[in-house]
Amino acid sequence: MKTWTKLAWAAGLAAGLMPAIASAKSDWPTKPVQIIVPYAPGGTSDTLGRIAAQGLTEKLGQQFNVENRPGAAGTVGSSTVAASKPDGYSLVVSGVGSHAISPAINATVDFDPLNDFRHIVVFGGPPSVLVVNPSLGVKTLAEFVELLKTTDEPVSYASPGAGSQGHLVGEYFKTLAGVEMEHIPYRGAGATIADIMSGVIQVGSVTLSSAAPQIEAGNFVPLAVTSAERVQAFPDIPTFAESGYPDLVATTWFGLSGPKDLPDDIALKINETVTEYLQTDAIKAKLEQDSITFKPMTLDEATGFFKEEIDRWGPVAKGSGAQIQ
Amino acid sequence: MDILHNLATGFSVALSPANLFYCLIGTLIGTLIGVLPGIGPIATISILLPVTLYLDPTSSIIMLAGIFYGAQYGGSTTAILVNLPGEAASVVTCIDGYQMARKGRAGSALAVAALGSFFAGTVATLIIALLAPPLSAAALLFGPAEYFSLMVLGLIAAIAMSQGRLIKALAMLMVGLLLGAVGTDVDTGAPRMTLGISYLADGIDFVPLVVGLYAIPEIIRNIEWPEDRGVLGAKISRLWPSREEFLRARGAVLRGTAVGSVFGLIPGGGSLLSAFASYTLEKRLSRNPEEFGKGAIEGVASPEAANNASAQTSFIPLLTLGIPSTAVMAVMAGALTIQGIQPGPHVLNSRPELFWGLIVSMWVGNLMLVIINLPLVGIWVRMLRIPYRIFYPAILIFSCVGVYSLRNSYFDVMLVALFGLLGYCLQRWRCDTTPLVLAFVLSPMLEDNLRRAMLISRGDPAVFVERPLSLGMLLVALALLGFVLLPSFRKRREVIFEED
Amino acid sequence: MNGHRINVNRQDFATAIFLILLGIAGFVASSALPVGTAMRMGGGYVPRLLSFLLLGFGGILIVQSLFGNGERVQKTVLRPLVFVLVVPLIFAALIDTLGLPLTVLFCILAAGLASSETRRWEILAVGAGLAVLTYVLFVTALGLPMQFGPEFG
Repeated sequence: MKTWTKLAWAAGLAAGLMPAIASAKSDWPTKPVQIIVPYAPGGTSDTLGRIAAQGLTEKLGQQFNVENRPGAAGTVGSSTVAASKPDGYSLVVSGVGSHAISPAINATVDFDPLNDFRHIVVFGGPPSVLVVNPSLGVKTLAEFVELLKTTDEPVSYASPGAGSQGHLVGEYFKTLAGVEMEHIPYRGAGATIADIMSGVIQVGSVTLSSAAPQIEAGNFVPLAVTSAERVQAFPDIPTFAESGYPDLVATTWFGLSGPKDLPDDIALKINETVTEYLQTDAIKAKLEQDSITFKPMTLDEATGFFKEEIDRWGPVAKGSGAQIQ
Repeated sequence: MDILHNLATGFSVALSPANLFYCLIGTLIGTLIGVLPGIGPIATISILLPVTLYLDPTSSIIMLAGIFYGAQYGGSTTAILVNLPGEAASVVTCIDGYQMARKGRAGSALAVAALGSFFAGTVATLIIALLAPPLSAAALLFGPAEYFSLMVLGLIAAIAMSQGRLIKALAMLMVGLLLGAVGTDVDTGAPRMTLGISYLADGIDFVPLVVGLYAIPEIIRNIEWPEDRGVLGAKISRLWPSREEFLRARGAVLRGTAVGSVFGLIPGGGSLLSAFASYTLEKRLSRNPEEFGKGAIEGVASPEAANNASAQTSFIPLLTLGIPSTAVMAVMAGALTIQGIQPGPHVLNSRPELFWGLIVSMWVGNLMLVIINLPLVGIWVRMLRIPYRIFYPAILIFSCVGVYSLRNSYFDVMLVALFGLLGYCLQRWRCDTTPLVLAFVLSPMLEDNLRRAMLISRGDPAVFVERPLSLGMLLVALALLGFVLLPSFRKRREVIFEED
Repeated sequence: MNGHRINVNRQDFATAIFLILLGIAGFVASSALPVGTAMRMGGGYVPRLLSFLLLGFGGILIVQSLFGNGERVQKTVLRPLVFVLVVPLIFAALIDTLGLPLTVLFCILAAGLASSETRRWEILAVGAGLAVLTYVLFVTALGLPMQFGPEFG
């Protein structure tokens, strides 16, 4: 008799508490949420993080604050969020650099990019572009490959950093085209662009957004972009895919992620809100400026995308020589 | 005439009530935050960036620029008052500025810094207005070889202006270079000498280093030896520079402005090098060089003018070419991008009101800085009269919070203790920390460009002397080295004779 | 004529030891890195070069210090040194668990121990005041993310 009473009490208590627990979850957010951008302010990830924060703040009625926490190519900020409580109050702007490339080549990265996170949204990102200084004398990708194969003089190409998307694209291209180029790593896009402009180095593999002003001004000759389709802002630049390298489709993409075990309903809410926001005309136009095309994805598709990219770039990164002991 | 038309456009934009207001807010808040130990221009701009996003592009850039100058000036204020440089360039201001404060002339130092900066800002603005497009070409003259030679020149200049024995100054230089090498290897992206500590993956941060090396030893010393505190806390008789100081500062400001304007054009060259270069130049030209380091007014006027001039001209590569020349400019570029404007060669033509409005606003900002800061001098100086036993804990805790706020990293704060110990020891051992700090800041650029130049030239070291600009700078460095060695040679011989 | 007096310059000697130790540390820290050649430098080239130079300078300085002018060294007063340096350490240890105001309070009290001029109630008031002031300034006004109070777990 006593046992049954106890059970009844327990059941009653549980039933009574259920609404409280359930509503606690679906009441999220009840206080400001922190979105960590693991890079210095001013970059693409920062811009995307702030756009997302703005949309979420407007639609969900709570403050979503961006906090810049740069370090180790985005891994310090990501690591912090991976270790934080999965209560929906700390999120991170993840990306190909911090989640696909760095974990593959940097042994001090202490998180599993796929399983330590709940991946919520994929923003997309700018594609890379292969540009040359006009003094090189080539106008198309085919001419460039021809030049590389027949010239005696060694050619070098610049990228904004060892392990950057530009670097990996460059290496991948070399393998696919069967050509040789010396990789000259820089730190950041600024110096890279400056040196290509001045002709110190004649080839560059950089993000389209960083090269755009110079392409428009005629200082660079763009050979090909790595997006799946031609970019709206630059309809004259062919893609690698259509130039005979269908495998070379890549973007420096970013996304929004939370710690693993983030409750499904919170993740869903974020996904739906951000997806809707990024498809409004005003925001679409802003993204276009950076040559970003947003493709809506469900939660599962987002996770799948992350997995694909991690599996894909890992080996390329390792093989590129951006290695550590 | 075209230039008048452009300036007119600029004035009409910059002097609109709204933009004047944003400029004022920017400079005011920038100064107040920049004064907080540990929070320099970049941190300040990052904190206030969200606010500017609500404004239209021109207004937001005007406000950001105001914040930038304000924070820079705030950094100079702490350099003079408590020997704490707010950012790299203020390190040079510490040298004589703080010594002037110890002699009761803090007010004079602060006033000269403000006025000198204003003059430099005015001249630099004119230069930009007249010469922006042609000057932008200068930015492109610098390739890896030139940067390397420039860094070498900078290091030799650091030795030239160091105090104490040559060998110890050189050793400090090496220490700085080694500390600066901690971080990421440019070739592979792999962490280097980080001892597995993830916080060190991006290297040792500048702020904990200087807080530890500069501010901490002074605090310890002032507690240890109350008599030595100087007249920091005593009644200040004069807030304004004397006539003599004015005259002496005049030439220094002119030369500093010239040096700074040139250095600002060089992407990455920036404020620090210009401050060092002008200080060294001033010391060489002075009739009483032994006063430098002990509170010479030129030692404050010159670097302050230089670093303000270079701060202005450093906008040129960004505005005309779309290339951010320093980290701060990169943030500005980002702010513009968020607003929908891609910085690049076309901004001049497609958005002239932005370009010229910003340029004129720079000058307005400088004017506001003087207007804001001169009265503040009285307040700062009065703050120095707070009993030291209350003053120093406040400085300490503000520094800790400021350092922590950089990356929410307790590790950075621990570094303050470590470098504080080092700073204390170096002070006791009579080692000059200035070459250390300069070498630390320049180390990554020095090494990156050396390796890059060698990579591009396929291992041919002749590239450094084949390119004319690079060769020119190396020759100047050599000459400077000669100057440095000669007197010490002479001194040594005197000593030998004496001992006999 | 001078009698041969070995007058050790203590400061230079200490500096030299520091340089040597740092040189060794640099060498060890960079030992795993590829050195490469002068034409193609690896990540370890410059650190190793610098470490060698430091050892060299240290060696020269030691010898020089043995024949130098020994200056009278000021006595080290430990109290300010220890208690000033301990403040950042306490801050670093407490900030993530206790939040800003409490950490500031403890730090100020510790800082007060550094000087003999400190007065008990005064420093307590200063600590409380700064605890509030820093929070209002940095967190409320500037919006920097720092904890308010103790957080366990």
